[in-house]
Amino acid sequence: MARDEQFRREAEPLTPAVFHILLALADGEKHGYAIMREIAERTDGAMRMGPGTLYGSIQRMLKDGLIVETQPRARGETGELSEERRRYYRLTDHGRLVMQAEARRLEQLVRLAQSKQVIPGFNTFGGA
Amino acid sequence: MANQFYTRSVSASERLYRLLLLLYPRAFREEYAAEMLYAFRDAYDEASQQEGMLGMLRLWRDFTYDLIKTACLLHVRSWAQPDALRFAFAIESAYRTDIGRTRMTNQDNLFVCAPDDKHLLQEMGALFIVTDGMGDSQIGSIASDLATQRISEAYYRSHTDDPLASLREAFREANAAIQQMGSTHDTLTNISYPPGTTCAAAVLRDQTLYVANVGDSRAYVLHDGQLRQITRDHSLTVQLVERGEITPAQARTHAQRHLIYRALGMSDVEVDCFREAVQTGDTLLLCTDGLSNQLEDQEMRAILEHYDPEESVQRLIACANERGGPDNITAVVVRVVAG
Repeated sequence: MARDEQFRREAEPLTPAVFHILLALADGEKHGYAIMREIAERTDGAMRMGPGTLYGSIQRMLKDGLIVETQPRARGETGELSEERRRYYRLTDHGRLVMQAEARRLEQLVRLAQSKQVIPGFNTFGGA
Repeated sequence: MANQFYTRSVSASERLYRLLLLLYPRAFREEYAAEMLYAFRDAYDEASQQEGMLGMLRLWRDFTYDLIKTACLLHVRSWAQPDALRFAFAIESAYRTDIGRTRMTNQDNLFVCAPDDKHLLQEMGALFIVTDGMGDSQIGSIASDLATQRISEAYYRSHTDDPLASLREAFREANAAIQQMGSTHDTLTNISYPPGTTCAAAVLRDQTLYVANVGDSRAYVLHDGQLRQITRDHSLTVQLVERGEITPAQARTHAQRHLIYRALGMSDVEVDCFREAVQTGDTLLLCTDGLSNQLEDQEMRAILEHYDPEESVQRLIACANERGGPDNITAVVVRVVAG
């Protein structure tokens, strides 16, 4: 039952926030702000993720095993900023597979849009 | 001057954002507030350096929207999956009741329940009870058994969000049941003493300990190497100690040390209630007087501090028995550990 539930959830499209976080971690571990920054840069500022969306998604992704924290952290007081205790995250193998599956799903959608000539593609030729 | 303004503005903005983080569910806040503040500070630095005042305003607009949207979402998620977000600690417990070395029957009883259902555990908490029955023959053990049964049933049946109110109501139900049992037995067996029982009950929920007590069974909390008695005995000897007529050491061997003036089974019983914040690493001890009359607080502290709950229970009871085991002995030891 739990396994079925897991498959069902994995088959569902990822939220844009989760997919962007996975992509940001595709080339190595990062801490929260570095993830936010990469997403903003790669989308030319179109996707600016706030800390709430970022850590709400991270909490979910940790639970689903898509990412892990890379090193054990010392737990500070809530809101403590005096010491550098940032947490770094990296993709798990499972997270990478889920990211690839989502990319393929989106690729198929793009091909569908191309075949319907919604957007230009390799098999459409404009002009005479 | 501009620099000074910038520093003041960063610090005021951080304080405001830190305050706004209170909108998030507590468990989420405890886990991520520090990280979110790092992210806020970096983003604020960058926005103000690259775009000045306009950047700061844009950042506040985006982050405020993000904060309100995700705080609402996370609250809904925490209601839908309370165990995943809110049950941030776990417990290890051990318990045992022992007849001692001189009594013919064991009139003590105990009840321990950490529900398997995590939603129930989150909503109602884990419940621990020790009771020490009084009365002729087997009637004391029936009373103490009845108390644990009725209190646990009534507690988990109750629908209030206030564990102390639920415990108080559960004690009231148990009291009525024991009185009812006493009147039935009175006519059947012509007993000379009405049945009664002490009762110390504790609920551990969401890092708060709720304790209800009647009689001279006790609840202690070990925190940071200090063992503190939470309950106050309703006994003659405690009154004598408080009036300065005898010392605590004399109270342990006083001829009337078993005399209590409050018990379940009495016509109108008042229940003492206590509320304590607990942290990871804290240990709760519930015990009957068969233990607390034989061991000094410092001896119990040393055992609880050095051993896990299972080993602690074994050693506490063995120690009371080595000193003669003049009464039934019951101990419940619960340690709060990281979830």
